[in-house]
Amino acid sequence: MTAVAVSSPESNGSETRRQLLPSSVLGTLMFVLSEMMFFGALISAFLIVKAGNVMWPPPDQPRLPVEITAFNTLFLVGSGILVYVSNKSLANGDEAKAKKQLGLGILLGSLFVLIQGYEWMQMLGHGLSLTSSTYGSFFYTIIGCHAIHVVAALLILVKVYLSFSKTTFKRTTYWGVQVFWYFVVGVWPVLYVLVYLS
Amino acid sequence: MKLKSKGCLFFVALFGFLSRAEACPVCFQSGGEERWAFYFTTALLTVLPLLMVGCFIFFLRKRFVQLEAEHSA
Repeated sequence: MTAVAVSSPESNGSETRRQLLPSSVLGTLMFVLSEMMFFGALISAFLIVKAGNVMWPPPDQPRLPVEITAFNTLFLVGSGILVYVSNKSLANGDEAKAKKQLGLGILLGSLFVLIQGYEWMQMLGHGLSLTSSTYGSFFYTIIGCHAIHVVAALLILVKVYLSFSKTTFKRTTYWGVQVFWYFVVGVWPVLYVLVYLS
Repeated sequence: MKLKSKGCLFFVALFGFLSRAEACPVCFQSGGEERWAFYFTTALLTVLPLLMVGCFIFFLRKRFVQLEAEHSA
Protein backbone atom coordinates (compact mmCIF):
# COMPACT_ATOMS: atom_id res chain seq x y z
CA MET A 1 0.00 0.00 0.00
CA THR A 2 1.36 3.39 -0.87
CA ALA A 3 0.68 6.86 0.37
CA VAL A 4 1.31 9.99 -1.59
CA ALA A 5 3.61 12.09 0.49
CA VAL A 6 3.60 15.86 0.60
CA SER A 7 5.85 17.32 -2.05
CA SER A 8 9.12 18.49 -0.64
CA PRO A 9 11.57 21.04 -2.05
CA GLU A 10 14.10 18.22 -2.50
CA SER A 11 11.76 16.36 -4.79
CA ASN A 12 11.40 19.40 -7.08
CA GLY A 13 7.64 19.34 -6.84
CA SER A 14 7.32 15.74 -7.98
CA GLU A 15 5.29 13.37 -5.81
CA THR A 16 7.15 10.79 -3.83
CA ARG A 17 5.42 7.60 -2.76
CA ARG A 18 6.13 5.78 0.45
CA GLN A 19 4.66 2.56 1.71
CA LEU A 20 2.18 2.71 4.58
CA LEU A 21 2.59 -1.01 5.06
CA PRO A 22 4.87 -3.56 3.40
CA SER A 23 3.00 -5.65 0.83
CA SER A 24 3.70 -8.84 2.78
CA VAL A 25 2.07 -7.42 5.92
CA LEU A 26 -0.89 -6.01 4.01
CA GLY A 27 -1.49 -9.29 2.17
CA THR A 28 -1.23 -11.31 5.37
CA LEU A 29 -3.57 -8.91 7.18
CA MET A 30 -6.18 -9.36 4.45
CA PHE A 31 -5.79 -13.13 4.73
CA VAL A 32 -6.04 -13.00 8.52
CA LEU A 33 -9.25 -10.93 8.36
CA SER A 34 -10.87 -13.54 6.12
CA GLU A 35 -9.61 -16.30 8.41
CA MET A 36 -11.19 -14.56 11.39
CA MET A 37 -14.53 -14.68 9.61
CA PHE A 38 -13.94 -18.35 8.86
CA PHE A 39 -13.33 -19.15 12.53
CA GLY A 40 -16.22 -16.85 13.48
CA ALA A 41 -18.54 -18.94 11.30
CA LEU A 42 -17.27 -22.20 12.83
CA ILE A 43 -17.72 -20.83 16.35
CA SER A 44 -21.24 -19.61 15.50
CA ALA A 45 -22.29 -23.03 14.19
CA PHE A 46 -20.77 -24.66 17.27
CA LEU A 47 -22.58 -22.33 19.70
CA ILE A 48 -25.97 -22.87 18.05
CA VAL A 49 -25.62 -26.66 17.99
CA LYS A 50 -24.36 -26.65 21.58
CA ALA A 51 -27.32 -24.53 22.73
CA GLY A 52 -29.70 -26.98 21.03
CA ASN A 53 -28.43 -29.89 23.13
CA VAL A 54 -29.71 -30.42 26.65
CA MET A 55 -26.45 -32.04 27.75
CA TRP A 56 -23.13 -30.74 26.46
CA PRO A 57 -20.80 -32.57 26.08
CA PRO A 58 -23.14 -35.48 25.28
CA PRO A 59 -23.12 -38.01 28.15
CA ASP A 60 -21.95 -40.94 25.99
CA GLN A 61 -18.94 -39.10 24.60
CA PRO A 62 -15.45 -38.95 26.15
CA ARG A 63 -14.36 -35.77 27.91
CA LEU A 64 -11.67 -33.56 26.40
CA PRO A 65 -8.30 -33.32 28.17
CA VAL A 66 -8.71 -29.86 29.70
CA GLU A 67 -5.62 -29.79 31.94
CA ILE A 68 -2.99 -30.96 29.46
CA THR A 69 -4.40 -28.60 26.83
CA ALA A 70 -4.21 -25.69 29.27
CA PHE A 71 -0.54 -26.58 29.77
CA ASN A 72 -0.14 -26.88 26.00
CA THR A 73 -1.67 -23.41 25.57
CA LEU A 74 1.26 -22.03 27.53
CA PHE A 75 3.64 -23.46 24.89
CA LEU A 76 1.79 -21.70 22.09
CA VAL A 77 1.51 -18.39 23.94
CA GLY A 78 5.19 -18.65 24.89
CA SER A 79 6.02 -19.24 21.25
CA GLY A 80 4.14 -16.08 20.26
CA ILE A 81 6.04 -14.07 22.89
CA LEU A 82 9.36 -15.45 21.67
CA VAL A 83 8.61 -14.50 18.05
CA TYR A 84 7.71 -10.98 19.25
CA VAL A 85 10.92 -10.71 21.27
CA SER A 86 12.87 -12.03 18.30
CA ASN A 87 11.56 -9.18 16.16
CA LYS A 88 12.60 -6.71 18.85
CA SER A 89 16.11 -8.18 18.90
CA LEU A 90 16.27 -7.93 15.12
CA ALA A 91 15.23 -4.27 15.31
CA ASN A 92 18.07 -3.70 17.79
CA GLY A 93 20.51 -5.25 15.32
CA ASP A 94 21.19 -8.41 17.30
CA GLU A 95 20.59 -10.92 14.53
CA ALA A 96 22.13 -13.92 16.32
CA LYS A 97 19.90 -13.43 19.36
CA ALA A 98 16.86 -12.94 17.13
CA LYS A 99 17.58 -16.19 15.32
CA LYS A 100 17.98 -18.06 18.61
CA GLN A 101 14.69 -16.68 19.95
CA LEU A 102 12.87 -17.52 16.73
CA GLY A 103 14.29 -21.04 16.89
CA LEU A 104 12.97 -21.44 20.44
CA GLY A 105 9.60 -20.07 19.33
CA ILE A 106 9.44 -22.65 16.53
CA LEU A 107 10.39 -25.38 19.01
CA LEU A 108 7.56 -24.42 21.39
CA GLY A 109 5.11 -24.21 18.48
CA SER A 110 6.19 -27.68 17.32
CA LEU A 111 5.73 -29.02 20.86
CA PHE A 112 2.20 -27.65 20.83
CA VAL A 113 1.41 -29.50 17.59
CA LEU A 114 2.99 -32.73 18.87
CA ILE A 115 1.02 -32.66 22.13
CA GLN A 116 -2.15 -31.91 20.15
CA GLY A 117 -1.42 -34.92 17.93
CA TYR A 118 -0.92 -37.09 21.01
CA GLU A 119 -4.23 -35.83 22.43
CA TRP A 120 -6.00 -36.67 19.19
CA MET A 121 -4.64 -40.21 19.28
CA GLN A 122 -5.95 -40.55 22.83
CA MET A 123 -9.37 -39.18 21.89
CA LEU A 124 -9.64 -41.49 18.88
CA GLY A 125 -8.72 -44.38 21.19
CA HIS A 126 -11.59 -43.39 23.49
CA GLY A 127 -14.04 -43.44 20.58
CA LEU A 128 -14.33 -39.74 19.77
CA SER A 129 -14.10 -39.46 16.01
CA LEU A 130 -15.27 -37.14 13.28
CA THR A 131 -18.34 -39.32 12.70
CA SER A 132 -19.08 -40.43 16.29
CA SER A 133 -21.28 -37.39 17.09
CA THR A 134 -21.74 -33.69 16.38
CA TYR A 135 -19.50 -33.15 19.42
CA GLY A 136 -16.68 -35.08 17.71
CA SER A 137 -17.36 -33.40 14.36
CA PHE A 138 -17.07 -29.92 15.84
CA PHE A 139 -14.04 -30.82 17.92
CA TYR A 140 -12.04 -32.18 14.99
CA THR A 141 -13.24 -29.53 12.54
CA ILE A 142 -12.52 -26.49 14.72
CA ILE A 143 -9.39 -27.74 16.45
CA GLY A 144 -8.21 -29.46 13.25
CA CYS A 145 -8.54 -26.26 11.22
CA HIS A 146 -6.52 -24.45 13.84
CA ALA A 147 -3.89 -27.19 13.83
CA ILE A 148 -3.55 -26.90 10.03
CA HIS A 149 -2.98 -23.17 10.45
CA VAL A 150 -0.34 -23.78 13.12
CA VAL A 151 1.51 -26.29 10.94
CA ALA A 152 1.40 -23.96 7.90
CA ALA A 153 2.63 -21.02 9.98
CA LEU A 154 5.40 -23.15 11.49
CA LEU A 155 6.60 -24.22 8.03
CA ILE A 156 6.84 -20.57 6.95
CA LEU A 157 8.60 -19.66 10.21
CA VAL A 158 11.13 -22.46 9.57
CA LYS A 159 11.70 -21.07 6.07
CA VAL A 160 12.32 -17.62 7.54
CA TYR A 161 14.61 -19.14 10.20
CA LEU A 162 16.68 -20.88 7.54
CA SER A 163 16.98 -17.68 5.53
CA PHE A 164 18.39 -15.74 8.52
CA SER A 165 21.89 -14.33 7.84
CA LYS A 166 21.41 -14.96 4.13
CA THR A 167 20.91 -12.45 1.36
CA THR A 168 17.44 -13.89 0.69
CA PHE A 169 16.22 -12.79 4.15
CA LYS A 170 13.74 -9.93 4.11
CA ARG A 171 12.52 -8.30 7.29
CA THR A 172 9.22 -7.44 5.64
CA THR A 173 8.60 -11.14 4.95
CA TYR A 174 9.30 -11.87 8.60
CA TRP A 175 6.77 -9.20 9.62
CA GLY A 176 4.14 -10.80 7.39
CA VAL A 177 4.77 -14.23 8.91
CA GLN A 178 4.59 -12.71 12.38
CA VAL A 179 1.13 -11.29 11.69
CA PHE A 180 -0.05 -14.78 10.76
CA TRP A 181 1.61 -16.35 13.80
CA TYR A 182 0.07 -13.81 16.19
CA PHE A 183 -3.34 -14.62 14.70
CA VAL A 184 -2.77 -18.35 15.19
CA VAL A 185 -1.63 -17.78 18.78
CA GLY A 186 -4.37 -15.24 19.54
CA VAL A 187 -7.30 -17.31 18.27
CA TRP A 188 -6.29 -20.39 20.27
CA PRO A 189 -7.35 -19.21 23.79
CA VAL A 190 -10.78 -18.33 22.37
CA LEU A 191 -11.13 -21.81 20.86
CA TYR A 192 -9.85 -23.42 24.04
CA VAL A 193 -12.41 -21.65 26.22
CA LEU A 194 -15.29 -22.36 23.82
CA VAL A 195 -14.52 -25.95 22.88
CA TYR A 196 -12.72 -27.35 25.93
CA LEU A 197 -14.20 -25.40 28.84
CA SER A 198 -17.82 -25.00 27.77
CA MET B 1 -49.17 1.11 -15.61
CA LYS B 2 -47.51 4.16 -14.19
CA LEU B 3 -44.67 3.97 -11.74
CA LYS B 4 -46.81 5.40 -8.91
CA SER B 5 -49.48 2.77 -9.41
CA LYS B 6 -46.85 0.05 -9.50
CA GLY B 7 -45.46 1.35 -6.22
CA CYS B 8 -48.93 1.31 -4.60
CA LEU B 9 -49.52 -2.23 -5.83
CA PHE B 10 -46.16 -3.29 -4.42
CA PHE B 11 -46.99 -1.93 -0.95
CA VAL B 12 -50.46 -3.49 -1.01
CA ALA B 13 -48.87 -6.82 -1.90
CA LEU B 14 -46.19 -6.35 0.74
CA PHE B 15 -48.48 -5.54 3.66
CA GLY B 16 -51.70 -7.19 2.49
CA PHE B 17 -50.21 -10.62 1.97
CA LEU B 18 -47.61 -10.45 4.67
CA SER B 19 -47.00 -13.65 6.59
CA ARG B 20 -44.26 -14.84 8.83
CA ALA B 21 -41.36 -16.41 6.98
CA GLU B 22 -40.49 -19.63 8.73
CA ALA B 23 -37.35 -20.45 6.87
CA CYS B 24 -35.10 -20.74 9.87
CA PRO B 25 -35.91 -23.54 12.34
CA VAL B 26 -33.84 -21.85 15.04
CA CYS B 27 -36.17 -18.83 15.18
CA PHE B 28 -39.48 -20.62 15.54
CA GLN B 29 -38.96 -24.20 16.66
CA SER B 30 -36.49 -23.88 19.48
CA GLY B 31 -36.15 -23.05 23.12
CA GLY B 32 -34.89 -19.79 24.54
CA GLU B 33 -31.23 -20.75 24.82
CA GLU B 34 -30.91 -21.79 21.20
CA ARG B 35 -32.63 -18.63 20.06
CA TRP B 36 -30.30 -16.49 22.13
CA ALA B 37 -27.33 -18.35 20.67
CA PHE B 38 -28.72 -17.54 17.24
CA TYR B 39 -29.09 -13.84 18.11
CA PHE B 40 -25.63 -13.73 19.62
CA THR B 41 -23.92 -15.37 16.66
CA THR B 42 -25.85 -13.18 14.21
CA ALA B 43 -24.66 -10.11 16.09
CA LEU B 44 -21.12 -11.52 16.24
CA LEU B 45 -20.92 -12.20 12.52
CA THR B 46 -22.41 -8.78 11.74
CA VAL B 47 -20.19 -6.78 14.04
CA LEU B 48 -16.93 -8.73 13.53
CA PRO B 49 -16.21 -7.66 9.90
CA LEU B 50 -17.22 -4.05 10.64
CA LEU B 51 -14.97 -4.01 13.67
CA MET B 52 -12.06 -5.54 11.77
CA VAL B 53 -12.34 -3.17 8.81
CA GLY B 54 -12.75 -0.24 11.23
CA CYS B 55 -9.63 -1.21 13.15
CA PHE B 56 -7.75 -1.69 9.89
CA ILE B 57 -8.69 1.78 8.62
CA PHE B 58 -7.84 3.29 12.02
CA PHE B 59 -4.44 1.57 11.93
CA LEU B 60 -3.73 2.78 8.38
CA ARG B 61 -4.70 6.33 9.31
CA LYS B 62 -2.48 6.24 12.38
CA ARG B 63 0.40 4.95 10.27
CA PHE B 64 -0.21 7.65 7.66
CA VAL B 65 -0.14 10.39 10.29
CA GLN B 66 3.04 8.87 11.74
CA LEU B 67 4.73 8.85 8.32
CA GLU B 68 3.62 12.40 7.63
CA ALA B 69 5.09 13.52 10.97
CA GLU B 70 8.37 11.76 10.19
CA HIS B 71 8.45 13.35 6.75
CA SER B 72 7.85 16.88 7.99
CA ALA B 73 10.35 16.54 10.87
